[in-house]
Amino acid sequence: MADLAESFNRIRLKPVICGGLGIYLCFHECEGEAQVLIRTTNDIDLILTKTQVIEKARCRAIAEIITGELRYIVREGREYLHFKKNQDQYLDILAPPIEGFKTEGFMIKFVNSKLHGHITNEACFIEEDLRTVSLLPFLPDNDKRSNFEVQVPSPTNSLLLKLFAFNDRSEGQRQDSERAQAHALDIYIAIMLTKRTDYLEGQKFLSRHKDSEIIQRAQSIVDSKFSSVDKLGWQLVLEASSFYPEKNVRQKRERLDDAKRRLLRWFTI
Amino acid sequence: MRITEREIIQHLQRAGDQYAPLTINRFEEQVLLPQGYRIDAIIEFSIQDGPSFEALVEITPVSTPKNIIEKSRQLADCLGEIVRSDIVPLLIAPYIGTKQAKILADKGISWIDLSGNMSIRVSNQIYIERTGRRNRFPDTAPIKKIFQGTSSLVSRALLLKPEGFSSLYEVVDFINVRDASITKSTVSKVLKSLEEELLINKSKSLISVTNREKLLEKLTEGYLSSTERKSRETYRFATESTKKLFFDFYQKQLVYVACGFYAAQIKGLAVTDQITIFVKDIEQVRMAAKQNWIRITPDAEFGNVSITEVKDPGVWFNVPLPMYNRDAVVDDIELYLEMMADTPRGPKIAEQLKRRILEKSDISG
Repeated sequence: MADLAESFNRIRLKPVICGGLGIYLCFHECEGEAQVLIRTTNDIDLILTKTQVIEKARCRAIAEIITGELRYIVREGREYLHFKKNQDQYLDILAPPIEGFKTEGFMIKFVNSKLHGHITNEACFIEEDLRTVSLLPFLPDNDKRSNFEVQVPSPTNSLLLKLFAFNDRSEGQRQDSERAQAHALDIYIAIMLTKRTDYLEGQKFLSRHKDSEIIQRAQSIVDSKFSSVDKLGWQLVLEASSFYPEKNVRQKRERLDDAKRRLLRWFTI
Repeated sequence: MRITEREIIQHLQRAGDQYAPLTINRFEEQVLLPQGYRIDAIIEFSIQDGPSFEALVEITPVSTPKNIIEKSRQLADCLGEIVRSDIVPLLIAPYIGTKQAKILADKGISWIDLSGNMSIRVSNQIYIERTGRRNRFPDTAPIKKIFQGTSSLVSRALLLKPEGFSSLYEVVDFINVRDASITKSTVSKVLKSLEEELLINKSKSLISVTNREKLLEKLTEGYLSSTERKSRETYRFATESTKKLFFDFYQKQLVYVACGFYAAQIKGLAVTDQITIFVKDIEQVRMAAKQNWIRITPDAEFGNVSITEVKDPGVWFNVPLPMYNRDAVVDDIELYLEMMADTPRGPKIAEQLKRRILEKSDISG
C-alpha cells in the first residue's frame, strides 16, 4: 500500500482506496465502541477517478506503476481488472462511469490489454468530499519514508458503495451470504463511527444530489434491507461471529437499533 | 453470614470423599502443645493405599492476606517448638484465593479449603494440588466494595497523598474538603480492610500505602466491576459552540464535569470531536435546554455532546471549581479509571495517566 501511494504520489496523484481497506483508513482513528470491529486487509480496491484518468499519458503511467514498477500480475480470467502480487496481495480496479473510454459490459478500458476498471455506477460522485489520509502512522518505525498519502471516499460515498455492494450480494445471481455479511458489517462500522460533522457534510451532499437515481436507489436499499433490526442487513450483522462476541443478543440488538436509527436519518434528506 | 471455626470443623468432618485420595483418620481439637502453644487442631490424614501423616492445623473463617500471614506465623512458631520433621503445617479456611495460595506456598504451608481446593506437600513423599473450584462461601471473602462509591474515596485520597496521613481524622478532612462527604466510621472500616489486604501500613502516627501501583490496580478492578457505572444512561445533544455551551452551564450554575476523551483532550492527552460530560441532574439540563438557557438540542443519533447523569462521588471528588474561562474536569485518578474501561483507545491514555498518578505528589488532580 505504501509502495502504491509512493508511486502515485510521485506522479502527483493520490490513490483513492475504497472497500474494506478504505473503511479502515477512513475510520481507524474515530472514537466509538465500533472501533474494535475495524479490521485491516491486504486486498486493495483502487478506484480511478475521472480527474486521474483524464489524460491518456496519466492512464499509461498508472498502468506502468501497477504492472511494471509494482510488479502486479494480472489474474487469469479477470484480465486487467484484478491483479495479484506475492501470495496474498490483491488489487482490484474500479471506476465511476467516465465518458471518452471504450467500454465492454461492466468494463472500462483505460489502457487496452493493460489496465481496465470495473464500472461502478454508484461511485459517480466519488470525487466529492474525498478525504486525504497520511500513511505515516501505519508504517513501521524503521520504515518512516516520506509522508505518503492516499485518499478515501467520504463517509457518505463509502456508505453508498457498501449499500450497493451489499445489495448486489444479498440477492439474485450474484448472491453470496458471506460477502453480503462482510458488507453489512462495514455499513455498521461506518455508520457508527461517523461524527456529527460527517453527518452534516453528508446532508449537504445528499441534498445536492437528491434527484439522482443512485441516491434514490440507496434510500430504497436502506428502506428494504436496513429499516429495522429484523431486516436482512442487520440480521446478517447479528449473525457475524466477529460482531461483539462478548455481548449477548439483547445487547447486540440494542447496538443494531442505534445503527439503524443513524442510517435511516443519514439517508433522510 | 460468616461461617464459624466450629462450622468449618463440622464441614470438614462431613466432607466424605470430597478430598479423595485424602482421608481423615483422627481429629483432635484445641490441642495444647508442651511448650504452652495452643493449636486449633491436629489431624491425621492418610492417602488411600498409601502413607499417612499428621498435620498441625490452624483454622481461619476469613482468609484475608493479613489473616493468612498471621496464621502462617503462628504455625511456624508452633512448628519451631516441635522437634518433629514429619508433621505438616496446614491451614484450613472456607476458601483460599490465588493471592492467599501464593502467600502460603511461599511460606511452605499446606492448605485445604471447604470449597474443595487444596495444596498438600509432605516432604518429598506426597504432593497434591487441586485448585480452580469456586468459592462456596462468598460471605467469607474480604469486603469488595471498598473500591467503589464513597468507600473508594479513601484509596483515591491515599494515592493523592503519597506521604501518607497522620490520622484517620486527617483522611476524613482531606476527602471532605474536596467536594465529597464521608464519615469517620466509613474511613475507619475501609482502612481496616485495606490493612487486611496488606495495601496500607498503619501505625500510631502514619497511615501510608505499601504499594501504590497495587492500590491503583485494586481501584481499577472495583471501577470495572461497578454495576452503578454499567447502568448509567447517556443522552446526546448537539451544539454548535462548545465555548458558548460551557459559558451557559457556568452562568446557569449547572453542575457538570468534563470526562472521558474530552477530559483527556483538556489535559493534553487526546484529541476528540465529542464532548463528554457528567452532570448531577440530567433533568435540570433538559429543562435548561428546553427553555433555551443553554445552547444545546437533543440529538440521539448525531449529537456531539454526550451527557451522563452520575451520582458516584468518585466522579465529583477533587474536581477544581469551574470558572467562566475554565472547564471543570475529572481528576487524574477518575480519568485513569474511565480510560481503563474505554477500550480500545482508552488504555493507552491510561498508561500516561498512571505514570502521572504514581509519580506525582501533587494533589491538584
